[in-house]
Formats: sequence, structure tokens, C-alpha cells
Amino acid sequence: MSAVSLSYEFCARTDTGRVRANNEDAVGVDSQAQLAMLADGMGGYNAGEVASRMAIDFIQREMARWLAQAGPRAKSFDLRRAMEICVDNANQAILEAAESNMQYTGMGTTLVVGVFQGPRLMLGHIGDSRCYRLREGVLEQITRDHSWLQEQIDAGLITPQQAAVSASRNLVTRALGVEELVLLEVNEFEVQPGDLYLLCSDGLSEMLRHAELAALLAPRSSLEEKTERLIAAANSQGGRDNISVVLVKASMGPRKQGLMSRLLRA
Amino acid sequence: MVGNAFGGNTTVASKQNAHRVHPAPQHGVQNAAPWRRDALWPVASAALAVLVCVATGLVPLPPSLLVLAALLVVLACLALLPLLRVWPGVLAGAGVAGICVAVGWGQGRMLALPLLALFTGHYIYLARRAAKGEVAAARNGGTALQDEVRRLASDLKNQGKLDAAFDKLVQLPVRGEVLRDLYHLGKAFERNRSFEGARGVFAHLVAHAPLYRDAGARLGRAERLAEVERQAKSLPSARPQAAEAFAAPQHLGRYEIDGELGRGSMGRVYAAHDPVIGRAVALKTLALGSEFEGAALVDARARFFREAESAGRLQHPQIVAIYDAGDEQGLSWIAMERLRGKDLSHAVQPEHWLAVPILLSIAARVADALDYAHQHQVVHRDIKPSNILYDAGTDTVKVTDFGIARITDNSKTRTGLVLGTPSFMAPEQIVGTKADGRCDIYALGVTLYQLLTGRLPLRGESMSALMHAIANEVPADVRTLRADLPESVAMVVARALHKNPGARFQTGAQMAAALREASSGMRPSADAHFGAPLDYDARTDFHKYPMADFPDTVFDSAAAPAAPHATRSRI
Repeated sequence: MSAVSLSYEFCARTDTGRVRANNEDAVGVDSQAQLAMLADGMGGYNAGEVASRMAIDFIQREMARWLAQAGPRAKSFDLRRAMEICVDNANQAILEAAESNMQYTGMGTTLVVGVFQGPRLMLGHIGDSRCYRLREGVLEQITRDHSWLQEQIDAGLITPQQAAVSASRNLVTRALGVEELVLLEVNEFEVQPGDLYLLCSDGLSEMLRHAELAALLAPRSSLEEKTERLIAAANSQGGRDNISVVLVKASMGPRKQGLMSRLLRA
Repeated sequence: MVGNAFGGNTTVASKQNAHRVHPAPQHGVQNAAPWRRDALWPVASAALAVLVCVATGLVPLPPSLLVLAALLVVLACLALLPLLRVWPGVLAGAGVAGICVAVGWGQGRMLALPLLALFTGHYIYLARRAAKGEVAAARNGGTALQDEVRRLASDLKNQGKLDAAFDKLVQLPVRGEVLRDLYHLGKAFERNRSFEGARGVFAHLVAHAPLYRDAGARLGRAERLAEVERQAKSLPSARPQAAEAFAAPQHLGRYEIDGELGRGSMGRVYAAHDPVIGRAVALKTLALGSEFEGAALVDARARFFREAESAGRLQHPQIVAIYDAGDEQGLSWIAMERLRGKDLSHAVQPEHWLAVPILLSIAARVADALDYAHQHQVVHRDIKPSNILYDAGTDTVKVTDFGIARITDNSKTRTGLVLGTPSFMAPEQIVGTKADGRCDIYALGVTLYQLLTGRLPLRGESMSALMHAIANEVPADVRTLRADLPESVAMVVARALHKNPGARFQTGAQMAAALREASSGMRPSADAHFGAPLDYDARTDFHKYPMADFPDTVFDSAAAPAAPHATRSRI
């Protein structure tokens, strides 16, 4: 096997929060394909749920299939293309559903999807769902929101301090399933043993400050406990939106595998 | 590359699916199978066996004539056997095997073993062929029968029994006419909106003839739509009463719906008429009830009616009239004047440019409309070419969607979506500070710039670059793009586009006056209906179009969505 061998542990949970009646977020992990994803839907009635669920199901299935076929040593370029094509197809599917069912008109969803392969994370996102990385005690946001606010910051029109109190917090500039063309932003990261990745919807990132997130992720505990703690904290701050959390922990050494499963995998 | 990998994937999957749907006849008939690649295997292995035999000394060198002849016969047989149909193949194979064993036995026994192994392999190959249905092939064969099956399939198709037709066609070898039959059958499935069926047909077609017409593309589409169908069925359906409301309504309020005009960002737009007075209207619908719940919905509905009412009280010759608004089972609607004429978005193209005097006259009238609306505390907030309707036949200008931008702004999905580029937004809107009617003046400036030059005044590689430009960069003088424009026109445009709202025209009336003055300095062209009495003067005509005061309609910070947090539950 390769010299740097990393194994990944996944944990995902989603919570309706304290204000909403329904949960429009969706999460998905596939520990076999080493795939983690999260979507935050929007649109009336159940349309938001439909959009996020469709995105997760579709992309999870297609990506897992592609990854199984391409194997663990797929080229970065190919993986990137595969993610783009896959998201593009999901976009078409959601768009067609929205156009053929009146009750789904205007539905859409954000997306953040991470593919972990050996010491590499290929991370794609659309909209304002985020990915953070905790490395050696330092929490860093590694996605850049596609939001009106972020564009304002990038254009140098407002400072992050002003942004924190801005009224137009919830305007995203890209979403899956609303236009013919959607651009998935894909970035590649090197994973180090001990890294902890957090994928979350804005129901978490809007409720908790950066420092609070870091503090909740830091202690030694299982991923399940951390997930619970994050959701509980967001709820205690008001839980004004659906809260979704996916945690991915990278650690040294290959996962223990029985002979049979290795044979079956080959 | 990966695209192919994906394509490959889907094909594999669909083959499997096709198997699932129509398991038996998938590889139905491959009669008189021609040379196949897998037939090379026995030949190759035979050659290898001979080499091994020679190398290990099982066959003495130089070989006797008999052994040489036997080997040649074996090779020839192995090459020819796959060409035979299954049963003759089996018999011939058995015969050859017998001869070989006999010869091999005679030549020192050991040679018999590899030869036997070889023929076992060959029989396995034959058995696989048989399993794939070549037995049936051998029975069926013959083009006359094929034509019969095709005719039958065609009849079934014409009777609408598409599945039965596919069951027939799938038995035939996929080539020649059958390709066409399958293709048309797939299209028939599509017409019936049976995407699962279409997927089966196209998958079968693509599996055998990947490049046939646009079968590949159709397969992809059918797969997606079949997927959507499946998902839509498995989903928890929307609340029942909502589902009813959403099924294309026959009536909304007192209006009878005649057809769909289009789909906007907020919902569908219908052509409708009032059965009592026969007035034709355009109904804009908005699934307000679907966006909000509980208290937020009450709030949103109140806002909707407030905005619709304030927009409805605008009575002006250059403003599309709003007649009515209502709310039925979660679907809110606005009935508005249905007009002839085209919006100006097409006039951006140089080949459709309007004559400058006409353009100035249109802009002046839009400025009048803005002046009137601003006096009534209604800010349009979405002035752009596509919201200005112009009927060249009657020289009529109408501004549409007054106040709609605000309604949709307040009632967007909980996660708001900003799509496209904010090219028509004023700097103060971009930055998010307090904005007022002067942002409409700015937007009219951008509109005029675009209609005069075919270009937007400011552009950027990305959204943030554009936003930065709008906030900081001074657009190029229109004359640099179109040298024949007079200075007066350039000055009007530049003033409307001033970064500082205080340095722009302060009212629509000021801008209208400046536009009229600029165009009076131009040589009137023959085709311009210029200075026609149609022009509306907001200052004198204002009282002819009374509008009740509506203090509830506030217009605070326009750029910020500014809705109370209750309606913005996403925070």
C-alpha cells in the first residue's frame, strides 16, 4: 500500500432546530467510498427537502459508483471532472423536477461534497454551506461562501465586522437546481493525520461564532459526542434554522480489514 | 475522459436495468453468429498448447507428418468451429476431439491430455454461447421471420402497446431497420411520458449501437427523467390542499385562465380574462403560502397585499395597471393589464437598436413614470430593459412590475437567491446603505447606456469584481462607444450614473426634462414620433391620476431585504 496511509471515520447528523417545522437539510456519508456531503434546500412546502434529498441521493450514488470504478488512485483531474459532471447531472435532474411539478417551482439547494482519497481531499461546494478544518487546534474555514455578503466582502465594500451585522445574510448567489448552468467550486486539499473536517449548513455556522465552533470541536471525544454537542449548542443559541453537521476524522494507518472484505473489494 | 467513464457507467447500469425489465430476450437472436473476438481464445490457447507440447518434448522434434497434420486440423477446426451454429458446432467439435484424442493417444498418450483440456475449454465457450440464447437464434433465424416480428411490433406500437412492441423488437438483432424501429419506439415512449420505458429502449439501442443518431443523449435524458419520476413518487407529497392548489388552476379569483404566458422567478404567469367584463389580464402568481408558515405567512401575506395595493394605486399612462390581487389556497396572484408590444431587452442588440430620438423619448417617459411613482412612495427597484414595454405601432411606453421587485424580495424562499449579475444596481444598493428612488434613476441610466451602446456601463470578471466596479469605477463616456452621440446625451447618462446619489438627477422629472432638452438639440429623424402629445408631464398631469395615500408602504433601506426577522427565519 501507499506510504502515507490514512483512514477516515465519518459521522453525520441533521436536526430540525427549534423554529422550523420541517428539515430542509440533508446529509450523506459513504464510508466505503469515503464520501461526505451535505445540502441545505430551499423552496416552499416540501420542495426544499425534495431538492436537498435529490441532490444528496443522486450525487452519493453516482460518485460512489464512479469512485468504485476509478479506484483509489484516480487522477485529481479526473476526480474533479467526475464531481463536476455528477453535480451538473444532479442540477439537471432537480431543475427538471422543478419545471415539471408546479409545487417544486423555485426549489434549489446548496451543496458541499468532500471526497477523501488517501492523503487528499477534493472538496466541492455551491452556496453557503461550509467546510471547516481543525488542524493542530486551529479551526479554519476552507470554503468560501457563494453569498451576496461574501461578494460584498470580496469587492471590498464592507468589512467582515460589518458583515457580521448585515441584514442580507441569507442571500446565496449560487444554488443547485435553479439554473441551467451551475458552477461547482472544487478545491483540493492535503490531508494530514489528525485532521478533523466539519461540513455544516448555515444553521450551525450562523448560530455559533468561529471561536465557539473551535472550542466545541477541540476536546477529545468521539465524533458522535462532538456532533451532539454542536447541534445542542446551535439549538441553545436559538436553533433558528435546520442544523446539519458532518464530521470526518483522518487518522494514521489503514483501517482494520478482514481478509474477506479485502478480497471482496479487489 | 472521465466523462467517458461516466458514460460507460451509465450504460452498464442501464444494461442491467434492461435485463431486469426484460430479462429473457435481451440477447435474443444472434443467428449465424459471425466471427467474434472471444472465438480467438480457443485458437490462441490451442497454439499455446502446441508450443508447450513441443517445448516440453511431449511431441518429438522434428514431429512426424501425422502429428503435424493433426495439429493443423485441430487449429483449423478450432478456428472454424465458432462459425458454426451451436449444435453442429458441438457435434463437429466432439468429432474433432475424438480424432485428436485417438491421434494423441497413439503419439505417446501425454499429448491427449492438453488436447482434452483444450476441447473442454471450447465446450465451455459453446455452452456460454448457447446460454446467451443462440439456441433460440438458431431456431428463429431468417430475415422473413425478422420482418414478420418487426411488422408485429409496429402494429403493437400503433395500438399504443409500447411495452409489448418492445418485447417483440428486443428479440431481433439490433441492426439495420431494427435500429430505426427501436429509435422510434423510444420516441413513442417519450411522447407517452413513460421515461422508464424510453430508458429501457434507448439503453438496449445504445448497448448495441452507441452512436445511433442521438440515442445516447436521449438515453441520458430518459434516465434523468425516470429518476425524477421515481423520486417524485417516493417523496412525501406536498400537503394535500396545497397539491390541489398547484394543479394548474382553472380559475384564480374571478378570472378564468386561458393559458400560460411564461414563468417568472416568482412563479407562473397566466393569460386570463374576467368573464364579467371580458377584460384580458395577465395573472402573475406567487406561491407565497409555500414560502412561509404560521405567523411568518400572515406577515408575508399582509406585506404582499400592502405592496400590491400600493402598486395598484399607481395610475399612470406609462405604468402597467394592476387591477386586482388575491390569494387562494396558498397561491397569491396579481392581475395586471395585458399589453401588446415587446419589452426592450431585444433592443440591446445593435441590429435592433432604436433611433436615438425614440430612445430618448422612451427614457423620458419612463423617467416621468418614475417621478410619479416616487411621489407616491413606490420605488421600482428593478428598472431594466426587460421591464420596459414598447409598442412601436402606437408609440406606447409602459413600465411593468412596479413594486413587484419588492414583493418578491420580501417573499423569496427563505434562503434568498441572487441570480445573475447586479448590473443595474446603484452603488448604494450594492454597498447596502440606505437607498431610495434615486437608485431607479441610476438603473434608468444603466438602461439608457445599454440601449444606446449595446454594452453595460460597468462589467467585471466575477460578481465581486462587478460590484467593486459599480462602487468605485466611473463608466466610460457613451461617446467612446458610439461617437455619433451628442454631448448633451452623454451628459444625461453620466449624471444618472453618478456614484453619489446626491449628484444624480434628484427626481424623475429632472431627468425627463434633461432628456427632452438633449433630444430637442438633435436633428429630429423622420421616423421618430417625437414630441407627440402622448408625452406625459408629471407636474401638470399628476392630479388627473389621483392616488390615495398609503402610509403603510414604507421604503426603507431598499437594498437590504429589510424584512423583519420573523419572515426571514433563516436569519
